[in-house]
Amino acid sequence: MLFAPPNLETKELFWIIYILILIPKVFAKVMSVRELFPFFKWGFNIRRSNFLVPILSNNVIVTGEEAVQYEKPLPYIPQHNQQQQQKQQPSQDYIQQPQNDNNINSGKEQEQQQQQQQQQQQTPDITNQPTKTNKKIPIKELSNEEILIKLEKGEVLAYRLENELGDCSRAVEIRRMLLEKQLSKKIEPIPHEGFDFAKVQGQCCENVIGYVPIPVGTAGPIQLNGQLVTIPMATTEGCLVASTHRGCKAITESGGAKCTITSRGMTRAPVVRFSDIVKASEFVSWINDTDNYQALKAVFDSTSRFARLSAIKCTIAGRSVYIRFKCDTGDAMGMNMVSKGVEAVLEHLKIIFDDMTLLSISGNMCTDKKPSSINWTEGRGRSVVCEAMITGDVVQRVLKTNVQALVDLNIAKNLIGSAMAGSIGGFNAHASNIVTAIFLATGQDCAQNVESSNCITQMEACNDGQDLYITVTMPSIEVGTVGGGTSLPAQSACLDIIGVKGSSSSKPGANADQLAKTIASAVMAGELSLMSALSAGHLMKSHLQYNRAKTN
Amino acid sequence: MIRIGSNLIKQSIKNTNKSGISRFFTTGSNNSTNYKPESCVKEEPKGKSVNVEDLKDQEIIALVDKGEIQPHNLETRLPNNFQRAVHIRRKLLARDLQKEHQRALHAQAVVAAAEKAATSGEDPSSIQPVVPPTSNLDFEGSLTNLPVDHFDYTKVLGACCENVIGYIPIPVGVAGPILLDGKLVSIPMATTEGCLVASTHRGAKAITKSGGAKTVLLQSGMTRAPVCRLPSSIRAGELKQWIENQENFYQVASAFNSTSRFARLKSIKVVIAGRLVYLRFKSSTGDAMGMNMVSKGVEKALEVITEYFPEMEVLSLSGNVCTDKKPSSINWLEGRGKSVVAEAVISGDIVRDVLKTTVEALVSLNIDKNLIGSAMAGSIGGFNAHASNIVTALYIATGQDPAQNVESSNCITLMESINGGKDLYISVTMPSIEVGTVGGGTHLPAQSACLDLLKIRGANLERPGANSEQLARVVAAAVLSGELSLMSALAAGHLVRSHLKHNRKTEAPAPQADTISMTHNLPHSD
Repeated sequence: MLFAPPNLETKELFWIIYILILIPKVFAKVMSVRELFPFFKWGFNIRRSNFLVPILSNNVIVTGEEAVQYEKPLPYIPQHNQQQQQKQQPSQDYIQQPQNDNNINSGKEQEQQQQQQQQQQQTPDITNQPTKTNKKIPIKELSNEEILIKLEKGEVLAYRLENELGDCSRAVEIRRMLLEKQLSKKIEPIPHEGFDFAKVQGQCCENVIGYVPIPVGTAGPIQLNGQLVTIPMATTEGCLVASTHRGCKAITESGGAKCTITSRGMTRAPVVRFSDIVKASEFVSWINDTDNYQALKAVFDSTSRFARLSAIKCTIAGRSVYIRFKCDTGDAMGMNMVSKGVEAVLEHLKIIFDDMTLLSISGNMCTDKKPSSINWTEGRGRSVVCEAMITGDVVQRVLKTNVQALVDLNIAKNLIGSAMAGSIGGFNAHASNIVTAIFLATGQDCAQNVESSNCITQMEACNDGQDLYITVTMPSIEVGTVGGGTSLPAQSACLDIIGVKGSSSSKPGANADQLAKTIASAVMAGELSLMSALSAGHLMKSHLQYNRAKTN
Repeated sequence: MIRIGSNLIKQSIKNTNKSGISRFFTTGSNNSTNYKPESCVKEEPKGKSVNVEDLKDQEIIALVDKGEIQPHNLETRLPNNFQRAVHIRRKLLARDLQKEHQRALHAQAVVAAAEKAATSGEDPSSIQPVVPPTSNLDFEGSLTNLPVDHFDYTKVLGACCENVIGYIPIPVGVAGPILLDGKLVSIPMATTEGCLVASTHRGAKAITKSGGAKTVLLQSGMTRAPVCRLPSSIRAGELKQWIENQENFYQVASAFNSTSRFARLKSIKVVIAGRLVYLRFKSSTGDAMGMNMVSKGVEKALEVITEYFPEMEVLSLSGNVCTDKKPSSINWLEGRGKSVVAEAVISGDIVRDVLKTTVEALVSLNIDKNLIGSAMAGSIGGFNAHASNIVTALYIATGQDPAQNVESSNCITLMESINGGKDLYISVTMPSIEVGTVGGGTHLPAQSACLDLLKIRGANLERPGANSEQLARVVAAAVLSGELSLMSALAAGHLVRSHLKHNRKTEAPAPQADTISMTHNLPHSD
């Protein structure tokens, strides 16, 4: 009786103990599998750490020691000069001081160059010529061969030769020697003599090795607003100058061309972003207020003697705002001028609109060097319209065709053909040819030919179908008579041929206006002649005659 | 001793039994509990599905409130009575509008009370917001103006519209008949723009009296352009060469054509940007407009191409080079759907008597407005006066997709004087008319009737595609009529006069219309 309860308890206890013993085993199995992975991972980490840490430590230690003991930079002493000093120290201790002077002079020269560039931007009407610094330095006194050796060693940088030598022509010669050595080729066909490279430095081109000559012909003279203008054209396309010349002749014999500027203003369109669309629309409303616009105009105009803000057009896309500034820029093409004004205005706006973020000073609504509807409809630079009345006998005698054929061809080709092609601003025959040729001759930016050649040519029969009325409308001619390549001697001479060299002191902007008118009238002459050739079937005959070289 | 031991034994036995029995019962109970909800879930929907149709409207609305029925699913729960589903949805909408309105009024009252408290300085809690009465607002009543009856909603479900609460009636007028390729065709036009049908009617009359219009179908082919990415631009170039190979094209075309009885792949134009490749598939699609057909074919074709270029990644079935419902040069240049030219010679006396203008004035205006004006505007495909008006009206009447009006109305209008300047030659060139006589809204009763009016309802069994081609010709001819009439009115200076006559009403000023016509000169017999 006494054993009965203990027996039951013992049995239960036995089973409980058995299960308790069993569970840990099962659990241990599971855990051991799980633990294998972190253990392996941990071990791998240790191994990798052991592998990497000593090397890293060594690198750090070595680098630190080297930095402390061997490569501590001294003020104003470049590494290569330091090495040279070490090598030559026993025999030439006196070299150190002159080289220090050299570096100090280089620094000053850089500052002077920056100041010159700033002056150039501030006063684009003044032809900027970098000052030749009279400095005597050992590197300048070295021979070209010796400098070449330094170039190869990297002690002198090729693109800084003009600054180092103070002699642009000599820098070009040395750079040519270096290039010929690197390429193992002669570059003699690229001419470099007889050119004033001082006018190129800091303004037109870098790493100069010479120049490419492009033939310049003249078309005309053409009677433009009552005065005769000769048109210089730089081109490698046969028949272009001859064709334009014939057009000028036809126009002049018929009484001349009339030309007018309908709009002027260079554009720059930064893109800014706001936190939401409400703030973006508030910003646009604020800008469109007349008083606020006047305040911004004051800020803008203060950045230049010639910059005059004429309009601001805002376009919203989501919470981004594109602010298209339009500005009169005097006789300069004006991109840099407008950019400076835009930056000043943006600084001013940031104070007022603190949640405005400037994404880019150019947001492609400007639009520079890209085709766009906005330049075609709103204009950019100068918007010019040119017209002429060509008498029937001139059409017959000079252009070798008739009025009705020209009118029909203009509709079928320039209007319907371009419409079917989905063109924007391309309702013409070859305006781009003439624009490019005059741009090259007069130092304009040829990359802007994309939009400057936007043109629509219209022809009508008038005086009972007896005479031809022709017009060209070009809304976005981007030209300047100061800045860019206009200061180069040849380009300046071409501007002189037209009579628009440099800035107009009496009436700022008049020279650029005249250049734009000249281009438009030349385009009209080119259109007239090419359309006549097309309608009369002269095109292929003329090409064969002019483009076939004798040697071929 | 014995008693004590006996008690211990009894207690021990009792405990053991309780524990064991309890475990057993607990397990059983859990099992039964788990099964019950499943059987309930299975049974209840069936029961309700059977009962829903027998329920009253209010009871169904209660179910919607509980979330057991979704408002957009009413038709599937009432499969035999779509009309009733639409009515119930209208009630739901009216009630929701009412609730929202009351909530807004209450919020407004609370704000007013707070302002009043602030003004008078009283304790805000003591002022009760006064909610204006809403008995004058009856949303269900106002919805009655949106018609719902006399419409077969079975044709709408799954094909035309979702969440239906009614339909919008658009007036349909008829212009013409116009003599088109030797046959008289009446042109149904659904529009809310005054003078549009009258103007087109006058143009059709002028054309018919002058000998009728002729049309030419230049091409027919719907496009779809997926965008794919390859690992490098070199590989992209190889893909382009591979596709442009004749045998490979046939292989892709056979896969494409296998997806439909009517789809026939005509060409693949490959456009590369970096390592992205846009494959513009062009396919004839029978009498359908064809977007879905081409999409199916493109998917099949991409599978075949992927076998040869396994690294090719299909980013999207539509890469915007198609181009659907967006203006683009590629549709203007390459065409999309049907490309049609319509022409007519209008004799000089018709120009004078019916159009009230002269040939010379029309030719001159066409150059100045449609050619030079659109050129100055930087337009692409917009060298016309109002082609979009006619395209839209015809599209709505015949069940086409009005959203495709963006590119379907690409049109250039040309006018020349001929026969010594005596007569007028007019033509319209429309490269991307996207129409079909099957699919989309074409099977709706009213739209089918309009297609019947044109004798091109449904698919053409003898010559697949002939009906949709004819519809495209009708569109072009109608545009020709509309252009002729509007240009004449502009040339004759009828704009202001016609506006005053047709659009001025005594009740309220009607919206301005772009088109005008001298309808008082048109005989009623026409």
